Amino acid sequence: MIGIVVFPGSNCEFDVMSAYAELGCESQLVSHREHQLDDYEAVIIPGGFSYGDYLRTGAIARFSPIMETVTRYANEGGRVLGICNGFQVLTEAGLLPGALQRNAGLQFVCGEVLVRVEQTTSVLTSGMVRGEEFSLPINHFEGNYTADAKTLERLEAGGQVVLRYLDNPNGSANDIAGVANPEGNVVGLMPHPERAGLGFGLTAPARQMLASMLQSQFA
Amino acid sequence: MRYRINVRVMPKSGISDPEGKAIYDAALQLGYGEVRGVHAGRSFAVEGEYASLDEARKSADELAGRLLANPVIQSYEVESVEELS
Repeated sequence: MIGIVVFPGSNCEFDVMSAYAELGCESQLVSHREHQLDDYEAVIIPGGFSYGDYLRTGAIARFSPIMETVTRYANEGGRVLGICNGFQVLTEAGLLPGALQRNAGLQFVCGEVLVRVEQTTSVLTSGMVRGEEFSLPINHFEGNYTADAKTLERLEAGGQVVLRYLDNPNGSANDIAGVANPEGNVVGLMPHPERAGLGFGLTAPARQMLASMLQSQFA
Repeated sequence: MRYRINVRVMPKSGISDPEGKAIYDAALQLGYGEVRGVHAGRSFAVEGEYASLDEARKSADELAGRLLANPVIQSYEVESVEELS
């Protein structure tokens, strides 16, 4: 059983739910107003436009009651994944380094991109093969991963860059598509693995990624 | 006492600013060749009840650092505090 955190304006919670249903895993929606999380195998913050993206993406969601609990869950080693807007929420909450700002060229991007698995030391990628390349859907305006030079150096050296774009769609520093915290139990990515092949059957790499969240020892 | 606190949030120097860059490109396209750079930020007017001007400033400073700005990519400044009544 996984928990999917829902804020006003989240809109990918049912995509995540169907994807996990395909893996034979049940999901429970968790309201932003909750203070408690059940004993989930993983907690997922889905995509969407939490609080209308007002102020900054994720900036208001990060102060909702459930995020205090998610922070505690993460600090205790629980597996947490933020997808798209969920990634933005996790960076705003300080659970992941850096920030996501408007795409370079102010271009909204929607389509398929190729990504490469850079590290397998995270809950999202532990079931993958390092160097594996595959396609994932993207759909965002604020996916331009930004951090100062020192932070980027630390991320690279510490193996926290878990996923990289082959052809950078949004101006992200170092072509970063996904990052993990130093422990590897919290991961955020802009692409949507839950929508890779949705309705036709998840693609094999997407399935493997989402399954990693349930089995990974990085938690 | 009621105060209005004006806070300005800007991209930190050294951090990429796609919005500023797009506006800069547009300015050049309009023929403003003398423009050397544009940075896009936001300003906020926060109204509230505070015991003193100092209190208002202190509280606004904290609010700006926690909510109005993301210190990872933005800097902020409490520009002015006005007494409203």
